[in-house]
Amino acid sequence: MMERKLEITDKTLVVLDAIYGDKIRKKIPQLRELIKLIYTIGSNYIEITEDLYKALYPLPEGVRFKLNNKLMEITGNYNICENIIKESLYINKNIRIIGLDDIIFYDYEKIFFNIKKIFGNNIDMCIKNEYGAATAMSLEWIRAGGKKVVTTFAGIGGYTPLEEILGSVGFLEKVSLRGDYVLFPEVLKLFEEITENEIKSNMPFIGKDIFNVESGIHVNGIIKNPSTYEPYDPSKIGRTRKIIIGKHSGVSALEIKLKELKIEYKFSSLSNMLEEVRKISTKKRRGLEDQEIKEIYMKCSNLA
Amino acid sequence: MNLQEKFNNDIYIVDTTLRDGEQSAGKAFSIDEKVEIAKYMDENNIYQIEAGIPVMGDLEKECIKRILAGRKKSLISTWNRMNKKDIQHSIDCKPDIIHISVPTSDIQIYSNLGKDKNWVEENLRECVYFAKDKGYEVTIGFEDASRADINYLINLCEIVKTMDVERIRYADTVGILTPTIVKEAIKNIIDSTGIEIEIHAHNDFGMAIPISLEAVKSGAKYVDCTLDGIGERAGNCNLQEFIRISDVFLERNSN
Repeated sequence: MMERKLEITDKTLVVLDAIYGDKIRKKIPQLRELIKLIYTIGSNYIEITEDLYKALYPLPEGVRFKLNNKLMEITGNYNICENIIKESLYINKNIRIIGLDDIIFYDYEKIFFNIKKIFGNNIDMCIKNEYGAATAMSLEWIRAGGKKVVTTFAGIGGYTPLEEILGSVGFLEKVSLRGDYVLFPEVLKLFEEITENEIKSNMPFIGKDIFNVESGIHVNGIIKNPSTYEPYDPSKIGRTRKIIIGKHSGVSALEIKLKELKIEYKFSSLSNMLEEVRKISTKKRRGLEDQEIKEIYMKCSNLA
Repeated sequence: MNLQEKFNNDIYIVDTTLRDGEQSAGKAFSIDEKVEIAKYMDENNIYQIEAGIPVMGDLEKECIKRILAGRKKSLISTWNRMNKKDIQHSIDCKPDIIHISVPTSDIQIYSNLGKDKNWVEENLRECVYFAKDKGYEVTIGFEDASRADINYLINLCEIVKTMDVERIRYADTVGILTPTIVKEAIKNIIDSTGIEIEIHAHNDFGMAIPISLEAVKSGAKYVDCTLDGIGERAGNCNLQEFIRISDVFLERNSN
């Protein structure tokens, strides 16, 4: 893996505070834990407000923080370079560009080139997600030489999702970051507890079900070589692969499941069982539980 | 709500909720639900509905036939692995389009299937001929195209073009594309072959929508989507979101 310096500032705490206000102020111990976890998975700085600083005092040790009143924020869209007020460039503060939601519609490589020409590549790039392109555009900024990006966990508040940046930089760009991705499920659990909201189960990197697999073609491929149908090893993000038996299962998956359930089957009965699995799964509109698979086995073996 | 009327001339949506969407682990639609979803797509001017995989059995075939019987405008396609048995099951359903999925990356051809590129090319020719000979429109899916050698994809395009196939699906099977990579690949294939492209993105890195949009910007005419973005692992390109976003894109583009 390549070593490259990338600075990620995560503003999950600021956004949580803005959205939930008093509600999360009752959860200070959990917030302190969340800060530690977000830092441990790979964020370089945790952004806080002065108000949060007071509420969270004493802050967790060993974590680096950024106060957001030290920033010069410039908000804009694809035409940001045409609308820069020159005086703003001479203010002695760190510059953060916020927005650029729509640059996916345009020549974003050229836009990044122009931004670098004016500000250099050492500014905070905070791309928002109105058009679903925040991760893609933040990654393109990093590819263009950008050194700093701003994120929130699960993209809360419409920002670039932290876990997607960590995953993309680590698995696609093969750049080694210091974070421990295995803790993603732990961050998710705490995040859901704090927000009292459940994250979608297929959300990239943090969804609970993203490494469930049912399709016969995919199970076959994965048994031979997981990278046939998996973009990265699930264990790298603290998850395990789970084979689901259902309408789209094939014989190989059924055999694996029967072995797992310690059922001795005859190969000749597998196709009948599979037919039954498909019927029941379609009827129930879901994958099947272990007990249901056992019942199908009994029925197809004339043991019921 | 009319989902697509505004830009039917510019971007053609292929909805694969009933095929790749349903492949989402643990998900199974009842036949009535599938027929209802297809009806909704049809009423909303979705160009094409990938209705299922006929070789899966009689229930699936019955469902596809019901969808065909009830549709008014959308084209109905069926998904097939590259073998005549699968295609024969599709022909039993009499769809508008027969889609044949072809392994294109080395990992799929050599490691997964234990075959070689000669086998791919021979089978491709035979299968396309088999379906075309019976009068069907055929589209070809390049499975795992994003990990395949681009020159090999161009070679396969040349083969199918001589057999009057006009469209190939560029499938990012494991969801590893980024906008700049898809841009280069789509432009290269179109410049080299002139074939029509259908982009099929997965959301493993949270980029299915920008990848699809960038593919459109680069010349792809068709975009695969699913309702709510359901599909394998982190899912596919989210239909409702893609339409909302591409609508803004097209509006700005027309100014």
